[in-house]
Amino acid sequence: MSAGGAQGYAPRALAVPALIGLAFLILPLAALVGRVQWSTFIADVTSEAALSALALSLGTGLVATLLCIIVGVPLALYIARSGPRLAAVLRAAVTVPLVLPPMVGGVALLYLFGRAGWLGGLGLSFSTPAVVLAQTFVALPFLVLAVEGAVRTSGVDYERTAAALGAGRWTILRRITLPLAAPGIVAGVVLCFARAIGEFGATALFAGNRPGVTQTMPLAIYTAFNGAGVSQGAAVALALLLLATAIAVLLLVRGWRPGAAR
Amino acid sequence: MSGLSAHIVVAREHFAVDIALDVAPGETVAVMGPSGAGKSTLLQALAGLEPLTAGEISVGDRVVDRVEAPRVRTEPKNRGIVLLGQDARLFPHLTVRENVAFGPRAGGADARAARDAADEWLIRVGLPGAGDRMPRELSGGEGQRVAVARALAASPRAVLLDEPLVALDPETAGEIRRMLRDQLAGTTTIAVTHDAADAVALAERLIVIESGRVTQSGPVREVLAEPASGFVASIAGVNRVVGVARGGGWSNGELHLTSTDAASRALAATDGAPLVAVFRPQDVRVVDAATNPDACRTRITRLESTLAGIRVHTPFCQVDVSLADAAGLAPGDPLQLQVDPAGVRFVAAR
Repeated sequence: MSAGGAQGYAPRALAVPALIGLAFLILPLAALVGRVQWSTFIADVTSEAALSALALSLGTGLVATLLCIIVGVPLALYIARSGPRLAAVLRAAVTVPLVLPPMVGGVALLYLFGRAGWLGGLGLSFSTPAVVLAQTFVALPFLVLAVEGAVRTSGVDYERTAAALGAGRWTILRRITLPLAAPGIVAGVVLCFARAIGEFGATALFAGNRPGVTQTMPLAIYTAFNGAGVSQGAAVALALLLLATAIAVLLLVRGWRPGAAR
Repeated sequence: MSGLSAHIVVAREHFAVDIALDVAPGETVAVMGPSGAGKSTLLQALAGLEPLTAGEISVGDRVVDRVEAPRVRTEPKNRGIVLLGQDARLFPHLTVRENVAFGPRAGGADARAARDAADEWLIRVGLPGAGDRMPRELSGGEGQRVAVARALAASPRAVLLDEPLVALDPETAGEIRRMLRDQLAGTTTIAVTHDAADAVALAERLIVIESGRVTQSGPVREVLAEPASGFVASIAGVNRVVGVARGGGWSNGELHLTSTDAASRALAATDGAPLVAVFRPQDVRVVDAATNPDACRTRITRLESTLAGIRVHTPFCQVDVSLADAAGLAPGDPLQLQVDPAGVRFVAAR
């Protein structure tokens, strides 16, 4: 793509709503940064409550993302290689948690894993594993849909070529299918992780809000704004930290471009 | 011992392919046919990408596909058949070297040995030192060279070519054709092509497929010299006109041709036998009716510009004339033709 060569023919007047949209996304974040009390910022983000919430968020977010990869990539492959009708049904099933209010997801998880639920015997509710399950539930669709799209787009022609050259199914998966879908997988993992560490509703209902055990960053921020535990200044600081984490993840992934390093 | 032998039956709604073919070890057979005749279906079935309705495929004495009991269905990866198409389909995320080394590595070869062998293959296909390049940096011709190296590095038992030259400019196509002929020598090959020049350059035998059936087969030049159908005549660039033997020559209504070829005259000996006259458009001359009362009388239906001059279409045959001779000719004009008996061959009608 040459610089300025791919401008296309969009009407210039569209710049106005485009700028309004951009401002709507950027301005609230600027307002948030403006409210940060820099004098106490370091103390706020290094307080024990903040650090344990951050550690819990990152830890559970990573485990949830890992779980999503382990079950999500195979599910995405399966959907991508199904016939159109079955694929449509499966895609709809995967999309349901995406359009469901997370609160409802939390209630649903509670009825499955809660003490009186079908799988209540596992004793998972209101524990750290419950946080991971809640995050996995809401984040999995993002990964599956992104990976499924990438795998379907790259098609089966390269896989057929590889098979004709004598490659087995695992070799094709490892050396052809996954590398070709790498951009989609990376995008899916980023979305998945971002959704996992930002998860609030399902976690609150299914895992609760116990500092150090189930109180992740979003819950800590909510609690702080309600005036309990940490101060409101700390809440703003935590929010900024969450924002910074999200941006850091994005930049990290941008820096690692699949295929470029080979 | 057999290189590749197959009887392929694929039935679809409105369309059925029923083709038997036998390729000797190391032989190259060209397959030609009109669009939609079933050439692609044939290759897909051989490669294992299209299930057979009936029949059997064996490669090097091993049955890889059989519908009748005992049923056999070998996965594409275990057939040892590699398909080379118009699109080189190089793996875009791997270097040229890793592309070529893919087959051997998938077969369990040591990675370093496979890469060294890949560099050797690149030299053989005329791309020395290209190993570190990425497929997107290659031209169309270079991509096909790499595809050939990758296919042959996998030591296939048979190679299928699906018009690998059509997307290339004529000069590059010529170079790749020469490279293919050199590199495929000794490899059992089936080459589907639209171009008779490919068939002549690459193959020993030609199989013609029309409407899902083999309509003619034999040594390439023999098939082209004795076209059994209008399609073969068109790819060979000759006129093929059906008539009957009469008076030691060929006749169709008031048209009459003779031949100096001994075999042709023998065929024309039986009066009334169906007979096909074959002659090149260049061997037809436009003559004056007054001085040549026995010339074929016909009418111009269409004039077509060609590289050499003008091709005159008539209901009877096609005639090549020079630009100077074509001056004054127009569709609808009457025309008297004479065909040099030295350029006429008779073929038994089938």
